[in-house]
Amino acid sequence: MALLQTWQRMRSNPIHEKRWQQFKRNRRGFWSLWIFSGLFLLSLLGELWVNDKPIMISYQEQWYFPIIQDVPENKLGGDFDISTDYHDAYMVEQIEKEGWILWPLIPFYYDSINYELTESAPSAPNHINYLGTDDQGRDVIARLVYGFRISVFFALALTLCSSLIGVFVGAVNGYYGGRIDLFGQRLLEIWEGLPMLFMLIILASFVEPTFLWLLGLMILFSWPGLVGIVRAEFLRGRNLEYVKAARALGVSDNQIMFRHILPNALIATLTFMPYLFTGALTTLTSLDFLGFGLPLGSASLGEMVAQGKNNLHAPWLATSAFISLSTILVLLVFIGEAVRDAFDPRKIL
Amino acid sequence: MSLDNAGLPLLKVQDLSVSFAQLKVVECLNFELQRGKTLALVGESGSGKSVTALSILQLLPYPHAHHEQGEIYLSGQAVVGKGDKVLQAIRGNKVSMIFQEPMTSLNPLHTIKKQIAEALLLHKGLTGKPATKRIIELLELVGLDNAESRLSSYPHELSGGQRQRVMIAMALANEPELLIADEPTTALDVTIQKQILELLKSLQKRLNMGILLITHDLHIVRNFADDVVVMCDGRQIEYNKTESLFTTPQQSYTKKLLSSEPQGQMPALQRHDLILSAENINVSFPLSKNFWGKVTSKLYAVKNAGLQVHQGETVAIVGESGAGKSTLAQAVLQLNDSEGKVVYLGQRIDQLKNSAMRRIRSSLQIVFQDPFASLSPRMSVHEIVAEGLRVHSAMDETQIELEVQRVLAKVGLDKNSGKRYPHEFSGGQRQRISIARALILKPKLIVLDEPTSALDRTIQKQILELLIDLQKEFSLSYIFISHDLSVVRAVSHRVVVMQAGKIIEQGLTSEIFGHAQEKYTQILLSSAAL
Repeated sequence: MALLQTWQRMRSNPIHEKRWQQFKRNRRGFWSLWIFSGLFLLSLLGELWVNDKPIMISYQEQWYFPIIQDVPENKLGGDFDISTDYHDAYMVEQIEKEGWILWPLIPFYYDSINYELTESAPSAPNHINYLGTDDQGRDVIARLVYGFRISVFFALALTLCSSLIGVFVGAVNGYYGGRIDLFGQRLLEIWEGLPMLFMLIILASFVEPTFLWLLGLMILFSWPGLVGIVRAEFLRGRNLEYVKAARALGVSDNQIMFRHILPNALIATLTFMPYLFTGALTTLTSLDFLGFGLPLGSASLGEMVAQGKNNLHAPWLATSAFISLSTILVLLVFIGEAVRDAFDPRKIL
Repeated sequence: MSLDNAGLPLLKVQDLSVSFAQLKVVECLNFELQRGKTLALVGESGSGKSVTALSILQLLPYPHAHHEQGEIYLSGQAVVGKGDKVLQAIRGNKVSMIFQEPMTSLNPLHTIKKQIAEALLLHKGLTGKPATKRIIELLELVGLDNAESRLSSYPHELSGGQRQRVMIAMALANEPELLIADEPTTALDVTIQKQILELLKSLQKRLNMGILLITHDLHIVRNFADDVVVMCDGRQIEYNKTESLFTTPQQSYTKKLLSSEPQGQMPALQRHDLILSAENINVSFPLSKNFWGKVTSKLYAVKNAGLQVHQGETVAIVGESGAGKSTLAQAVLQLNDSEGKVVYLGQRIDQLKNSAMRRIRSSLQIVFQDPFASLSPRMSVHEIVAEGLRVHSAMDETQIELEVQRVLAKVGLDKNSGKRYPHEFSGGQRQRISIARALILKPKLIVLDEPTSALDRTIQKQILELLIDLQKEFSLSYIFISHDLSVVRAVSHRVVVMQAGKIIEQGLTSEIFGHAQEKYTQILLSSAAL
C-alpha cells in the first residue's frame, strides 16, 4: 500500500514524469528494458518450461503435478515407494498406458544428464537437445536459462547491497566532512587498494563458496565504487541554500541528509547503477570461468564459457555462451545509456 | 564616415519583430539613435531588451529565431538577414558590445593583452609593437592604472571593476560608432558602478559614440540617457526624452515602473525591547597551518562586530560585496563557525549544544537572496512550508494542512499552490514561498539576506510591502541585508555599515542618510545618488 502511494506520488511529480518521458525517447534503451524484463520473467518461470519433470500427468483418471509435488513411483504404476524418475523409459511406458504426460518445452533441468545420447558428450544440437549438450551431457538451453537467472539475481543483490552501503558511507563522509571525511577517505583508499580477485581466490580456498558466501565477499569489495560520487554530491549539497534554510529551520542532520541532499545524490547513483550491475554480472562470470565461483554443478554462464574453451571441437558451447552473454551485456548497456539520458538535466525537455 | 550618410541616424530600428519558433518575443519596435547620444532600453527581465540588442548585431540563434518584419539600419545600411561577411565587418568594428558579467565574458585562459589584441588583429590587422602601443593607449583611456604592467595579467587577477574596464577597452579597440552596453554595471558595487558610468560618458564625448544602454535601473537611466524606450513583454510602451518621461510619464505601465522605486520611511519605534544582542563576533578562515595542523594565520571575514535588535525593528546591514554582511548575520543565527557572545531573550545561545539550539531555531529564521536556489526542487510547496512544523510541533496532518494554507494566504499565494513544485513559480512567488517557510514557525527574528535583489523593481516593491505588513502584524524583527541603499532607506529603522569585515558606522536610518560621519558611508551614499 505504502509502495503504491510512493509510486503515485512519484508519478505526480512532474520532474519524474519528464524523466520517464526522456527515458522513453531513447527507443533503444526503452526496448532493451522491455526485452531484458521479458527474458528475466521467462527465466523466473523457468520451472514451467525448462524442467526434467512433466508439468502434468493424468494417470488412472487422476491428475498429478510433478513440478510442485513429489509423486512416488508406485502411484504411477511403478514398483517402489520412491520418487519417480520421469526419464526412465519404463515409467513413461507405464504412465502412458493409462493416461498421458504433458512435458515442458525443454524436458531437462540444469543438472539433469541426458543418458540417451547417441554420441559422446558434448553432443551436437539435435531435435532433443536444441543447442546440444555440454561435456557432462547436460542440456545447454537449460543451463543457459538457469545460469542467466542466477547471474541476474546475483547482480541485482550485489548492486542493491553495495549501493546501500556505498551511499551511506559517501553520505556520511560528504555531509560531515572534516576529520570523518579525512579518515574515511584514507580507509577507503587502502581498502580499494586490495586486489579483489586475489582476495576472493584466497578466501574461496578457506570456505566452500555458496551463493550467499560469494555475494557477501563481493559486497565487501564492491561498495567503494559509489562512495566517490555520492560523497561529491553531499559535499556540494551541504552548501546549497535550501539545505542551509533547512538547517535554519532546525531540521536534524539525518533529516537533511535523507530528505534534502539524498535526492540529488540519487541521480548520480541511479545513473551509475546499470554499470554496477553489468560489472557485477561480468565479475561473477569471470569467477565462475576461473572455477572460484558458484559451487560445482550449479548453472552458470561463466562455467559455460570455460566448457567452451575446453571443448573447442564443440563450437555450440562457446557460441551459445558468447551470444547469450553479449546479448545480456548489450541490453544492459543500452538501458544504462537511456537511464543516463533520462537524468541528464540538459536533455530534459 | 562618408558624407552622404552624415545626416542619417546612427541606428534606426523600424517595426522590428523577433520570434523564437512560434513565440513572439519582440513586437513592432521603433526607435532612433544619433551620434553622441545615449538611448536607454528599460524594462523588467523577460521584456525583450537583450534580444533587441542581439538582433542589432544579428547574433540570435538563426534560423530558430527570425524577424517576421522590420529592419535595422546602421548609418543607413540595412543589416537584417545580411550574410556573415557583411555582419562580421560590422561586429566589433562599427558596433561593439559589452556584457553584464565581466568574469564570464573574458576568456579566463588568455591575458588581457591577448584578448584586446584579437579585436585589433581581426579588424585592423595590427600586430606586434603597434598593437601593443595601441593596447596600452586603450587601457589608459579606460582608466586602468598601471596599464603597462597589467598587459600580462589574467582576468582572475583583476577586480570586477577592472575587468569591466578591460571589457570596455576591448569594445573600444576599433573606435566603434555604436556601443551596446547590456547591463554594464549590474554585477558591480555601487561605488564602482558610478566610476564605470562616468567613464562611459566621458568616452562618449571624446569619441562621439552612440550608446545603446540596456538596464533595469532607473537611476542610471535618469542620470545617463538622453532618450528612453520602455519595454514590457516585448512591446514598446513608451519612447520619449528622458526628462519628459520622468516628469510626465504617459503610459500607466511607465507610471507603475517609476513608482516602484522604494519610497517612504519607517516610523520610529515606540518601545525598545531588546530581543537579540551580539558582541565581539569574529568569523575567520585559516590561511595557513603549520606542520601539526595548528592555524598560523587567519583571514577575518568578520572582526569584532556587535549588533542589537529590538522587537519590531528592522536593522539593515549595508556594505559592498565581500564586506561580511551575510557572514555576520549567519554568525548571529549560529549557522557558521563563529566566536563571540550572542544573547537571545536573556539566554546565551552561542554555547548551546545542537539539540538545544534546534529548539530555539524556530524563532530565528532566515530568507535567502536567490529564490531559485533556496527551495528544494524535489519537494512540493506544501512539503517545503510544512517542514518546520514537522520538526517543531506535534500537529497532526490536518492541522498542518490548515496551517500551511493559512500561511500561504498570508504571503499572498493561492492556497492550492501547495501541491505544485517550486519551478512552476516566478521569482517573486518563490520568494513568497521562502517567506512562508520562515513565517510558519512564528519567529521573532527573520534574517533577510538580500531578499529582493534578484527580483524586478515592481516585484521588489510588492515583496517589501509584504514584509512591512507582516512586521506590523506580528511585530517581527528583521535583520535586512542589502547593497541597495534606496531599499534600505525605505524599510529600515537602523542601519549598520560594514566595510571589510568591520562595522564602521551605525545609527538611525535618518541620521545615516542625513549626515553620515564616516567618509566611506558618504562615498556609498553619493555613489547611489540618493
